[in-house]
Amino acid sequence: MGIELVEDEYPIVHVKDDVDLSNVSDFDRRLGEAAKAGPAGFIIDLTEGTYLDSAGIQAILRIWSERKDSGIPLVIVVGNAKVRTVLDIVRLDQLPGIRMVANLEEAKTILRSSAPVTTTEQ
Amino acid sequence: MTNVSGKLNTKYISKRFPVWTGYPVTLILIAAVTALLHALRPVFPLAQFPIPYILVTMLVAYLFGVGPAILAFLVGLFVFDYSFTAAVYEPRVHAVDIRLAGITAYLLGASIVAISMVLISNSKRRIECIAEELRRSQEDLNRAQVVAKIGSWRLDVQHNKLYWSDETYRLFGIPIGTPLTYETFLAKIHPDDREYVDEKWKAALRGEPYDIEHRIIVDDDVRWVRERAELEFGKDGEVKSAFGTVQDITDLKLAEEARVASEANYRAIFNAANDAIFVHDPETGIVLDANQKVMEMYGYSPEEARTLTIQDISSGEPPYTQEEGMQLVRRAMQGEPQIFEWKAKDKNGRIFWVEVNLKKAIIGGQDRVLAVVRDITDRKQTEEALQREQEHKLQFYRQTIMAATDGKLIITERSEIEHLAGTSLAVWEIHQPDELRVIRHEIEKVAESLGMAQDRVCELLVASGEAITNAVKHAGGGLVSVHKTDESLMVVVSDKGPGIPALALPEVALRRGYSTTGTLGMGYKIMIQLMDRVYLATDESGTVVGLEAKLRRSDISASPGMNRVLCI
Repeated sequence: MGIELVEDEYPIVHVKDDVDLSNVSDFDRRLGEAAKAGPAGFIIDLTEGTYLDSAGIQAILRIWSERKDSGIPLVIVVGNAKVRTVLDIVRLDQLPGIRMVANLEEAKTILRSSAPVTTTEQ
Repeated sequence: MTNVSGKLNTKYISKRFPVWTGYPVTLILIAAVTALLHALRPVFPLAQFPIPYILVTMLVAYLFGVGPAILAFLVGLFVFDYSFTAAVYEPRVHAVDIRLAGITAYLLGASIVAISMVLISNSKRRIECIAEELRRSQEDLNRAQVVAKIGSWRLDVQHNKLYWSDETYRLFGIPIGTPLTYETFLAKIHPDDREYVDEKWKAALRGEPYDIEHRIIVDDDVRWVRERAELEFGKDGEVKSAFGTVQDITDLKLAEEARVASEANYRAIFNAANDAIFVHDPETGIVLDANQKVMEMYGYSPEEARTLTIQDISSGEPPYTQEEGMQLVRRAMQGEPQIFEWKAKDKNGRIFWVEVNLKKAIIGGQDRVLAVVRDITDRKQTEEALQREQEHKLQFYRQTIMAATDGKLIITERSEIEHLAGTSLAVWEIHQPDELRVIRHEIEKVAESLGMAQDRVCELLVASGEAITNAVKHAGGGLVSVHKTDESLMVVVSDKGPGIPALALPEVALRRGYSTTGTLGMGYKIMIQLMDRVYLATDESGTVVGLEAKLRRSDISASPGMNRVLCI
């Protein structure tokens, strides 16, 4: 299975595969589960993701719009260039509350530093 | 007799007494005659003759028939012989001679009686037959009159008597047998018709034919009758007798009135219709009838229209011809109503657009095809204007979109994309989302085999992925093909989906920001950003997207701020 929910300090949606129309519903579901499991924040780990299309971006935007008022940033770890390109084109990092980082540690640091109640804008 | 069909005199058809009663009556009569002759013998010498017995035989034959007559003859002979001839013994004459003479006279007399009785009997039977036939014929006539609602009458001028049949009485609502005069008859006629009938009758008396229809009043109801009469004139021109019939035609008249009213209604509706209506012969297509509106629309009067062919009222340029029109007429005759637009021609040769509704109809018991024609020139002009406007709008969008995307998104025609793409290197069909990965992989292999730079391959895969996803998502699949042009590779994705409405194109191509409701805009944004050119042809029959990527990126074409893929 290419999309997993990993229990860590924060829940991590770990993508190790292409995300396209065939499995975007799995991705969407994992994001929902992660959001539920991590009231203090969760991480979308696309480090091993090889492909992400606009359907996947829609899923990320959906979970972002649900949580944007919580003050906890949505942290995305991006490694693959193809994935990065798509995210850049739609300027996902321009959205308030979305942080794109290069590795998991960086992601956790960001979450730790953001207080659960106060709003932390980038 | 007060009427023609009155009861016949029954004396000719009285039933006989039962035959058996004839025998005792015969014996009683013979006995009585014998007693009488014995009593009269001293004073009435003729009693010695056999005449009384012959008379008895005649009477019995007449009343009871042959059997009692034979009995009367034999008994009479016996009694006459032994009672009278045997007793006569005159010294002057030889007793045997007298006896012989008496018996001879009796036999002669009886023979004459027998012959005359046979004649009487025959004529009596004939009279009975004729009377029976007459009675039956009268009955039949009466029944026929009732069924046909036809009464008859006879005028006997000589005795100034008017005879009516029972049915005539019934038709006029007068009790059967009521004495009649011409005035009784006139009184039953509707007041408005009375003078007319009187005049006509008087004319008939002068020798003119009498065949009239008029109303009568029966129990406060108005009824229609038809009267006909034949008059017989004498040598001096005087009327000798007249025979006539009266027929109740109320139902016919009512039906006729209803038909006339219905015809008038039909005509009124026919002529008041806002549409031109033609009635066509289904075999030849020739116009058999046309309404007033035809005059207005086509310039032909209804009379002129009545011989026109389909050719005469059609523009004549295919498919608006006689042959094509006849095919539609035939289809309508098969019970399939035909609604279509047609280029019509009026009397002056003006061509105009009409909408025609062809329907099979039965008019006057005949199969016909009804064409209801509406002038749609205005509608056509509006449609054409609207189409022109749409085309202008689309043109405007194309130019705007092209300008706004630095010439990267080109809205064009399907054929243009096919022409640009040329022959394909590979073609795949896609129906399911789980085939997306395989096709991306296939495209990657083709791109790499053509020596496309690695980063371009990545970009091409992302852009192609979006185009193919759209086809799967919005059209349930489609065709993906890869083509090689001079310096570029082109991926063409075509589907048979509902297409993107013209008005939605700017939204698809130019929307800034983010939508959480659809991926279409985002997908195009990605395609436009990554590809050198994106061609889009879309209409209600489907969408074709052509993605053109140069094999190697030229730095000149790169826009400032563009993100580039670095494949790892």
